[in-house]
Amino acid sequence: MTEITKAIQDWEEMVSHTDEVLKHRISVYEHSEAILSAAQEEFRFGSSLFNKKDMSFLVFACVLHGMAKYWIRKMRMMNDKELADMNPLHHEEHSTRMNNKYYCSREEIISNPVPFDAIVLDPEYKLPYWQRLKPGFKGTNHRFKALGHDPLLGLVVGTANIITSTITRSDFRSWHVRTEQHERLKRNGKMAIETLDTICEPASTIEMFKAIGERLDKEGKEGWITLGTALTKEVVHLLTDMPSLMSLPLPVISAISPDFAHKLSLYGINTGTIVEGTIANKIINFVVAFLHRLCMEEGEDERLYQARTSKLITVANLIATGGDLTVTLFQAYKGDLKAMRKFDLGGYMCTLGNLVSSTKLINQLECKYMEEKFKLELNRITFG
Amino acid sequence: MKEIRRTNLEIVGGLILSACCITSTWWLMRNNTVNAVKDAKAEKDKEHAEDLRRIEEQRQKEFQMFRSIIDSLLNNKEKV
Repeated sequence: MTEITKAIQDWEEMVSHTDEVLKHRISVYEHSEAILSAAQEEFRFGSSLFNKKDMSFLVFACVLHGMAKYWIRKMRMMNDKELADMNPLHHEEHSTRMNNKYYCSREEIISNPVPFDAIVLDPEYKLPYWQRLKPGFKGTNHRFKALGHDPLLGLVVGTANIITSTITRSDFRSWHVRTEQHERLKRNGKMAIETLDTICEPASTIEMFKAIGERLDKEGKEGWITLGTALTKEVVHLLTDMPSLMSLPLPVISAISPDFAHKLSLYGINTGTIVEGTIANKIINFVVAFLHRLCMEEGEDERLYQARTSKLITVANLIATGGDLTVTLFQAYKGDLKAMRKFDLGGYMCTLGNLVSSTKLINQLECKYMEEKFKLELNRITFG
Repeated sequence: MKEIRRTNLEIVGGLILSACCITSTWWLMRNNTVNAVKDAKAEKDKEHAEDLRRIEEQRQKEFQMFRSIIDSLLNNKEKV
């Protein structure tokens, strides 16, 4: 009898515990909104940047972004020679071509300037006007008209130009480039003889590529090394031209319409304004995130910390881009025609992209945090 | 010259405007998304609480029924 009574008592206890758990769960589910709101408040308070450490990091990130933007502006004010001197891969160049057709030796490639920077036309190139095809390269338009300056097509066409001493226009017509002497009036009023890369008679673009193929066949490994040298020369040249005020056109656009590419560049929409800022922005964001992560203390909630890092980077980006926009607006208002060309468009685009992705990430973290807190509350009393 | 200056100002204005639009849209979306998730979960949880309450009542009834059966069985045994 006592055994039965004991069993009944155990059963009753178990039932009463189940009752308790169920009642607790019903209560948690009923008050879910309040629990989630409390968790949300907790997340927002915990991921706030208003503390000593995050504020110091914010100032640090803003200073880094400010310095990058200052350097970008400074480089845009430099002339081509100053920029070339800054590039460690660049060295003094002189036009000393052997004037062979569709051929440029490796030594010539290294010591000569790239042929698609030539703007001087051979004065002896005097064909009857119905046969004459004016290349039309000038100091102000050659970066948009010469395909060697296209950041994408240039890797193929520009390299081919370097290895064959030719220049190719945006409509894929080519000319030979030779070393010629020119009489030029110097600034001091005296005449001087200068040796310059000179655009001579028309060349065939197909022949140009054929010549490269034949050279690779004939020279074998040596030919491939020469091709690699030409490609390196092309990349170094693009990297030197990119930070300048005129910069490089957007990829492929110059092949479609050089005038449109020129116009876009006048208003600061070119490869330089986009690529430089993007690279600087990504590097700074990575460094700040890495250092912030390193400073995470033991016992700190991972999700809250991740949200703080993301918020920190976004706020620093917004402050830096806001400052850059204000300076550009002020300069444009004051009548600086180059205002937009000095603006960090890549940084601006990165900031907006970062804002979108960071918001998405913080939302996900907040939802997960709320869910976790809710589960924790739900399992506070278990069936045991 | 004047045209370039005007276009520059227009572009900067456009950039500022689009930055403001995107920032405010995403700020609103941020609050709305989390609140929408929260509201949907709260609504679902209320339904879940109702279901649990029904199960609990059913369980209570069954428990009472078993309890009375066992009580009567025990009484009968005592009488026997």
